[in-house]
Order: sequence, then C-alpha cells, then structure tokens
Amino acid sequence: MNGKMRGSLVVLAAGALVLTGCTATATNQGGDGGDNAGGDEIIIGAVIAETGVMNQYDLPAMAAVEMAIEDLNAEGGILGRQVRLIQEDYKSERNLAPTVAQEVINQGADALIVSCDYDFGSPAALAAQSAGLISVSLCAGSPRFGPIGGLDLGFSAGMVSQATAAAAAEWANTEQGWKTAYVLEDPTLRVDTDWANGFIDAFEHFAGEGAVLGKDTFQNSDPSINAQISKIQALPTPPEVLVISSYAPGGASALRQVRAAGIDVPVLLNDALDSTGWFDAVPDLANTWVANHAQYHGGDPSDKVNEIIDRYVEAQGDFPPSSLIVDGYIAMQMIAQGMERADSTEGEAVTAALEDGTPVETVVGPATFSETLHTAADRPVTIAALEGGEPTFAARLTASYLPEIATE
Amino acid sequence: MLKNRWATRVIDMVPVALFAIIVLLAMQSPDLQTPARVMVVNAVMVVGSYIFIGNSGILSFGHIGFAAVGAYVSALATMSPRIKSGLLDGAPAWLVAIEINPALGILLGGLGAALVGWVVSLSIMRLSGLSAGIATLAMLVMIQVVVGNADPITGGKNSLIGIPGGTDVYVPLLWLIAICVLAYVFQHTRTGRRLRASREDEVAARSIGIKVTHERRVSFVLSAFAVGIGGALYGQVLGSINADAFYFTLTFAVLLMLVFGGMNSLFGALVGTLVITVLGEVLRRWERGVELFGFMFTGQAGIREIVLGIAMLVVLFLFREGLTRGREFSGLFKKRPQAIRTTVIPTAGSKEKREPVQEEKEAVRS
Repeated sequence: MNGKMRGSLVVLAAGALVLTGCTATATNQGGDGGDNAGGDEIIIGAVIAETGVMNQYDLPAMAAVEMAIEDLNAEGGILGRQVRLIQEDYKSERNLAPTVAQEVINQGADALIVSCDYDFGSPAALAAQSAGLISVSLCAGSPRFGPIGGLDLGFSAGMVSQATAAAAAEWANTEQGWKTAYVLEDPTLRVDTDWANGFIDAFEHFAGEGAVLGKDTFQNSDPSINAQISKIQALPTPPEVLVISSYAPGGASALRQVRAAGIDVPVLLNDALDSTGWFDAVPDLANTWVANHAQYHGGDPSDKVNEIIDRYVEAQGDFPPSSLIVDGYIAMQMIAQGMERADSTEGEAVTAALEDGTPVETVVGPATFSETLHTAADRPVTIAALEGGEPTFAARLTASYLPEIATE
Repeated sequence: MLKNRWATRVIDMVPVALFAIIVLLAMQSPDLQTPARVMVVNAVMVVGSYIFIGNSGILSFGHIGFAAVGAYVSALATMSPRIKSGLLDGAPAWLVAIEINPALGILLGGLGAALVGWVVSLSIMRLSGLSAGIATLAMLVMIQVVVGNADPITGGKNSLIGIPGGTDVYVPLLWLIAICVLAYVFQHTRTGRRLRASREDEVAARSIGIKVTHERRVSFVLSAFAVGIGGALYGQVLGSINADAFYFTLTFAVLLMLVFGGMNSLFGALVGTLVITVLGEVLRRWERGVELFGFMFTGQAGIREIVLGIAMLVVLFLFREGLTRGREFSGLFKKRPQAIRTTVIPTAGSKEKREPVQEEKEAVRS
C-alpha cells in the first residue's frame, strides 16, 4: 500500500467522522448527579429506548413520566424532596441495558423506569434489583414482570393481559349482548397468546360453555390468512363477535383481509393493537372495538387523563399514538405512592408498601399489587370504538371475573 | 533475538496479563464495571473462536451457536426452580427441579457446547474453505431456530432471567486466562502445528500424511467448549439471555474483534477485543454527549455503528492480517524478514526457524 492511498484513507475516515455529526452546545446542567445518598432530591433513572424497535412504545409514555414529575414537584415532590429525571438510551439492545442501568444507578438513582416489555425491560430491572432499588416498567403486560419472572423488586405500570381480556369479554357479553365469539390468535408473542386465552376463559364464563365457536392461529408475518377466513365463513352461524389478538402490522393485515372477505361482524382487538399507526391500512374502518388503557383522543371520563392528553398535544402537536401514554403517568404514581407509604426510597421497603394490598390510586382508577403479582390485574379497562380513523370512548369497566393467572 | 523457547512462551503470555490488569483497573471505576465484565466475556468468545478459526484458517460463522448452547445449558442448570416454573410452561419436572452451583454450571455449559460441537464436527469438518464457512452458518441458523422454538425447555423467544452467578469479575477473568492458556498450548501441540500447516497449504499438508479432517475436528470441539464457556459467562454476567442475543449481531461483533486484531494469533484476538470494546464504549458515550470546557459535544445517534464499520475497512486496507499481522507478542521483538531468504538453511540449534512458513509468507505480502 503506498503513502498516497494511506493518506486518502485517513482523509476519508476523518471526513466520515465529521459527516456523522458532532454538535457542540453550551451546557446548562448544574453539576452532575453524583452520590445521592441522603441528598435533597429523589432521582428517577429512566433506562428506555430512544432508538430501536421499542422507542415507539417508550417515548410517548416517557412524555407522561415527565408530566407526572412536573406535577409531583408542584405538589412538593416525594417525601418532601424534589424529583429529578435522568434519562438514558439503551438503544433497544437488551445486552446494553445492564451497562446503561448501572450508569444511571451510579448517578444516584433512587428508582428505575424501564422499557415497556418484559424481555426488553428485565435486564435493567435486574440491575436495579441488584442495587436494592425498585424498577417500574412503563407498560409491560406480562404477569411475569414481578416475582414470577425473577423480579422481586420489579413492577409494571401496564395491565396483565389476561385481565384486560377478561374485562373485554365481560363487556362484549354483558354490555353488548354478544353470545358467540370466534378468536384469531397470533402466537408470535406470548403476551398475545395470554390475551387470547384470557378472553376465551372469561367469555365462556359469562356466555356459557361453547360460546367460543372456535379458535385459529396465524403468524404475524403471514402474508395471507385466507385459510383461516374460509374456516370462519364455513361456520353454520357466523360469530357475533370476532376477536383478533395480535399486534401491528400482522394484526392490522388480518383485520383488513377479514373485512375484504366480506365478514362484517363486530371485531374486538387486544391492547397490543391499540395504535393509530395502522388505521390507514384498513379502508372504511368501522364496527371495530379495542380494549385499551385509556381514551387518548379526548373524551375520557377522567379529567386528569384528558389533561395529560391535552398537554401532550400541546407539546407534540398531535394526539399520542396509543393509550399506553397513561401508563407512564401511572408508573410515577406507583413510585411516588410506594415511597410515601414506605417513608423510604429503599427498594425492599417500597416493594413491601406496594404489595400490602392497598390500591395505588392511578389516573384511571385503583390498581392493586400482591406478593406474587407486580402488574395490575384489577385496574379499570377502557373500550374504544374505532370508526373513521379515530378512537372514541365506549366504556370503562373493571373485570368482575379473572381467569387464573399462573403465579407459580 | 529470542532464542529460548520458554522465554518466548512467557513473553507471549504478557498480553493476557496486560489484558487482565486493564480489566482490573477498569473495575475501579463504577461506570466501567459492566463494560469491563462484558469485555472479558467477549474475549473468552473471541479467543474460543480463534482456537478453531485461527489455527484452521476456516472462517466459522457458527460459533455463537455454541455460545447459545453453553448459555442455555448453564442457565437452565443454575436458575432457581421458582423462577423456572414461572418462565417455562410445560417444562419437564426434572429440568425445573435441577439447581446446581453457578461455577459448575459454567463448566457444564462448556461441556454441553463441546458435545454439540463434536456431533456437528462429524459432518462439517470434511468441508474446506467457503463451503465449511457456509455450513457453520447453517449450523448457527439451526441452533437459533431450535432454541427460539423449544418453548417448554428454553422459553422460546422469551428471555430467561434471574441467572445466578457473577457480579464479580474474577470468575470470568480466571476463565479467560484458562482459555488463553488452552489456546496457546493447543497451537503448539502436534495437532495444532499440523492444523496450522493445513491452513497454509491444505494439499501439501495432506501430501505429508496430515489427517486434516481429524485435526480440524479436535480444534473444533475444543473451540466449541471455550465458546460455550463464554456463553455461560455471558448469561451469568448479564443475568438474562434470549435466543436473539446469540445470532448475527453477536456473531459479527466477535468476528469483527477477531479479524480486527488479527485472526492468526492469540495476541490478535485479545488486541481486537480490547480495541473494539474501548472504541465502541467511547463512541457510545460520545453519542450521549461529552462535556469539555463547558461545551457539550454530542455525536449523532448511530455514530458507533458507522465508525466501527469504517475502522474495520481501514484496518482491512492497511493491515490485511489485522493489527497484529498474525504475530504473537514475542513476534514484535523479532526482526521481520525483509525479503524471502532463499539461502536460509535451518540448523539443528536454531529453534527460531521452527515456523519459517508463516513469516516468509508475511514478507511476500508486505
């Protein structure tokens, strides 16, 4: 290799470095966090995905975390100490999460906010647990986020999927009067399988044995579900409601194909399909309902939820992409009420305070945790009607019957 | 000039000691503890891969499959029954009940990977060159599909968490030193030397009676064992594993470290791991913003991946055999041959000339 080529390589590398971007801004932060032991503020460390696959879930919920911290500080903070947020990106890389979590803990975090899923959130939650701190996942829907899944100090601000499904089944049978159902399940992710099983269990509880006419599965990546549609069309009597438990894009594609095939029965979707992102993919979206966490286009029965949505719209210029935004606010309510009740920030004390059976008052209603279940199963579920590209509030209820949730 | 064989060997182990010292120094800073532990685990996997790739010259894309086997065997054997019963639906009762010491779990992970390596080696090691590389890639895909879908045993695509074991760095570090010694001793055994001969010229090696398939098989199984140990340590250090963690991203990360440092020497494997880890960590911190003289310098998100890619290209352009040019540490103190010395006749007392083939080839390339 000659010197000229060597030189041009160096120039190329230097040029690339400049192109990849380096911006300098004057710093306005007053000192670094440092050791917060006995400090005069409570530090909340958020280890979330600002980039990568999880950012679509984490970022809107983080906007609500910030609002909750503003509100807490306006009311005097937690334990009389002001609350400060440190946020770090783990890039949706599960292997990077422990490193990032450790950095946040070293900056003096008193509790961690982690990613919106058991698989993605648990590595950071484990790091928090090793440091004796509680962690709250923004919206994980698995009952495993807690002692069942090895996270003795880990909680989730989401809802157990079987419980959401049970509330949806109760609403479908008792409020809508639907007597038969057919379930299309996407088994790619366990949370959707849990949801489908919870629905079947609860619907048969309310509507009677045999009320679920059948269940079929499809993969999220399946380009066509013609075979499944043919089976529905071949039923002697069509179901009064068709349930789809999946996530976008596969779930949206399934709904589109169902409608295109002329099946116009009401369709009920699980909370993983609660996102405006796919609405355009289904022409003339109507007669469709989704079980979600709150009404996020205005019109929620809770004034506080409407206020959160209004603040989001003011800051971002648009409605949030899904109802998961309220879970961010609820995560901070859990941390604040747990610390206040324990009169401490110490992980085990806060966990014991949250586990004691006294419900946490959230913006949508009470949520209870136990020694085995660190994700709420009794929080009120919202049902939204999807029509004309917008969700509108239909109902809010707490399931009166819960399917068995494996806690061993 | 280093004429003494033992002196050479001791000097060749210096990088291992330096690596360990750097790790122990990094452990003094709270922010560097996790990256330092992860670097040690990566080094075990890189050196483990080197045992096969470096000696045989066959680029294996499948070694991370062994890390997956090691990690899952070790995790399932050491996790508490309470957590296993929560995470694994329909697991056999004996699998849920078993709970062994984490240190034994690491060894079991290595042995499990070696067993899989032995079975695979029966067929794959008959192949050479690119076809062997593609066969190992197929093996990686198969292991990934099996691990990702054997729900009752592995939890499928979901994570296994709560893996007990190392929050300290000493266990991984002792394993790294052991694997480095294993790799170094192996490359100087008869099998290792025969394998290296076949790497330089397979036809010539076969012509003098070397059973290339057999030699490759031995190194493949040893290498699988070492990478399996790396996988088991990976699970213990991070506390959780999932099937996707042991796929292309980790495969290319490990190969990048090996090729960057120089895949023909143990020294290269360690240098590659160190440089890539430090570079990656510096760039990640830069992405977050670095405060200098009252100004915040923030790199574009994603800069880490781009710069690592460019660094790889630059090294491949400038040093085709990696930063160390395929030399061991003692090779730094030897005079590099300027041209092929056609008149050199190895004499009985000249131990230095035991490996003339490689050095002369280097001279031709440079």
